[in-house]
Amino acid sequence: MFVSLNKNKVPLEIDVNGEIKSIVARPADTLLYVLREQLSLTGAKPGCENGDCGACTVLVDGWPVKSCLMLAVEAIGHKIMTIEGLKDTPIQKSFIENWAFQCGYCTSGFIMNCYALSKIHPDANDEVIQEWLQSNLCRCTSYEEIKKAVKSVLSKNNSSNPKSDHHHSSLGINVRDNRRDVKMNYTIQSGDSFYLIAQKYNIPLNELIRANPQIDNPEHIFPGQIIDIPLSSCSQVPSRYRLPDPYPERRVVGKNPYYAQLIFDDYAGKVSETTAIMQYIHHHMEMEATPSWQEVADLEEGIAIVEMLHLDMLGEIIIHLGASPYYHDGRQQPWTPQFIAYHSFDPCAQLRADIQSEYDAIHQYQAHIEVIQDPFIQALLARIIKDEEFHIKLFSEKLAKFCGEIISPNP
Amino acid sequence: MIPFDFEYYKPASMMEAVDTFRLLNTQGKAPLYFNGGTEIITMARRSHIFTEAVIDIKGIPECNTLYIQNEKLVIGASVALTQLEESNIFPLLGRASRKVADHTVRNKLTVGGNICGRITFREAVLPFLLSDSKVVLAEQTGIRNVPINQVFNKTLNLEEGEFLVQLVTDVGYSQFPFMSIKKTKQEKSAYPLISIDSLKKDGQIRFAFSGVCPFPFRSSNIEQVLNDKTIPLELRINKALSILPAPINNNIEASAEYREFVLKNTLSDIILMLGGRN
Repeated sequence: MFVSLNKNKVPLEIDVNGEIKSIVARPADTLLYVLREQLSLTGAKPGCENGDCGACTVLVDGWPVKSCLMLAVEAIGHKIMTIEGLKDTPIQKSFIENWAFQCGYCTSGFIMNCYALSKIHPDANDEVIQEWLQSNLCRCTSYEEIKKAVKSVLSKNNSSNPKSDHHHSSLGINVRDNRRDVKMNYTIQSGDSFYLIAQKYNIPLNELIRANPQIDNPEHIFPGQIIDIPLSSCSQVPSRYRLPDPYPERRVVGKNPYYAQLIFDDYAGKVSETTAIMQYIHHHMEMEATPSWQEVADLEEGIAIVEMLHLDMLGEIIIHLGASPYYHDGRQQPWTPQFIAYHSFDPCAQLRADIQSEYDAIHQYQAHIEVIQDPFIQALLARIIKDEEFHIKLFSEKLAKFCGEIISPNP
Repeated sequence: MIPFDFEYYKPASMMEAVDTFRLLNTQGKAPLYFNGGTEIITMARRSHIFTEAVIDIKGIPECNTLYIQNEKLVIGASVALTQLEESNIFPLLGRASRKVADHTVRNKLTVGGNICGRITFREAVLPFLLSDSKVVLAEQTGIRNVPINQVFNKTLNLEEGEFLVQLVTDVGYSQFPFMSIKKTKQEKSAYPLISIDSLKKDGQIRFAFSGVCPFPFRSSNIEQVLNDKTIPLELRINKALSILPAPINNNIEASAEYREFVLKNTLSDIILMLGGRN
């Protein structure tokens, strides 16, 4: 829609802290000016008013932006959040606990930036933290305390979201014998070394070197080279329940909330990895109680672990797309057990339901590949489909063996 | 606060944009195309520029593309530099983007705005010069698709009323070895003393510079000299410095002599790292 505003004051509506606010502003007025002078939201501070100090930082659709560098008219159609919109968040508490301010003038800008960082990169490393925090200046030089406050929040995020061993510990199974590397492609960046990459992915350096025999000298790598990252967090996935092909690098072309919404359906919608995991684990536990069904129970458990790997990948993609994989963020429909085809105490019905679930998942992934014009996501979904097809084969073999039923290849 | 008023237009198509520009220009309003707007807002606040109308091109779908199609990477002019970093779709470009301003500013600063801006560094253009990209330009008579190395000479040479819509790069360039180095006087988030992006293709290292001279540039003559392995490295670098397209910048950030010293060492490092030594 073509927008045309004359140079005089004009009535505008902008979404600030979840409320639609009516303002009257010149097109030449900055967002900072309007927030403070018209809406009395004085948390955003005028400092340099030149985009240098960051005291005026607010969030625009979740991303930190210096409000002195944005016209108020540009805010139309976007969600603005100021420090007044934050209530008792972990980062606010952490600033208090760590004494991360002195005079306080820069604090609201810092908090907005750090809040966004904790949401967008909850597992940020030191390099990312440093890069983000360089956007704000503190003339009282509370930088050390501010860094501590941010790291405290991020480490809590990480400890409540353990990446390693959660597949193993949640199921309490011994899969030591089945260990086999699951790999991901990684493009070497300028400044990378094997040591830094190993640190970044929390894997032993020797494991990374071993996974890349094509690199003659690990001390001589160049930007643009592609190496394999053995995913230690996934190394517990039994290899016999997934295909051996490596998984594509988890990356996206750019942020896209709509694509994130679609991937969220695969993540925790009705037909989703979450549903599959819960369903297969339930079937596993029931079958395990019957010794004659132990073989199928093992299969259900193994495939559930592979689905967890898929879940992990999809969650990362959602974050890369600029959204959050938390399903209780107020925008998404919460996942519900009603999505599951339980079929209690009927293992043959359970196997049939599992096969149907895999077909449903494949159809949904295929539909999303059609819509999502992002080659990186398309490649990942196509790779996941291969696993799901393999699962159909495995489930079908058990259905034939234990129930004497043959499933047609394309129901 | 910006000390003067201007009209604001946000067209939804390329043709609306160029038509609006033409009309406003006819009315003597000295219109400016407005993308991220960071430079226009800061310069207007200081009264370094004046306009009676801005035309915000962020609402044009073609300016917001970021995808690969037919082995071409298509980047819209309104894509923010942070998007390029986060997508990592073209690692060299992601690295080069990180050298501009600070992270929060880059959430608003667009690739097109940086390339077409008045601030002399315009570092986002360097990877596109190195990768022989093409630019898509919109003007009154339609769309032009031209090699950037033809149309970028010190600045992006646009016709009156023309604006940058997209940058198109062969996706193969995202796979070549590269280095992206920025040297500042003190802090990371500062204007560069020198900024060099380099990329190795077919055994030859390509170089693009910012901060060295009063404009960003890539020079085939300089590349030829720097890749000539028959000459000792130090001589190659000295020879390259003798054919720079303009005298080395000499200002409060650094003297020309100091910049030259930093430039020599940085070139030596790059050639060493990308395997271009004798």
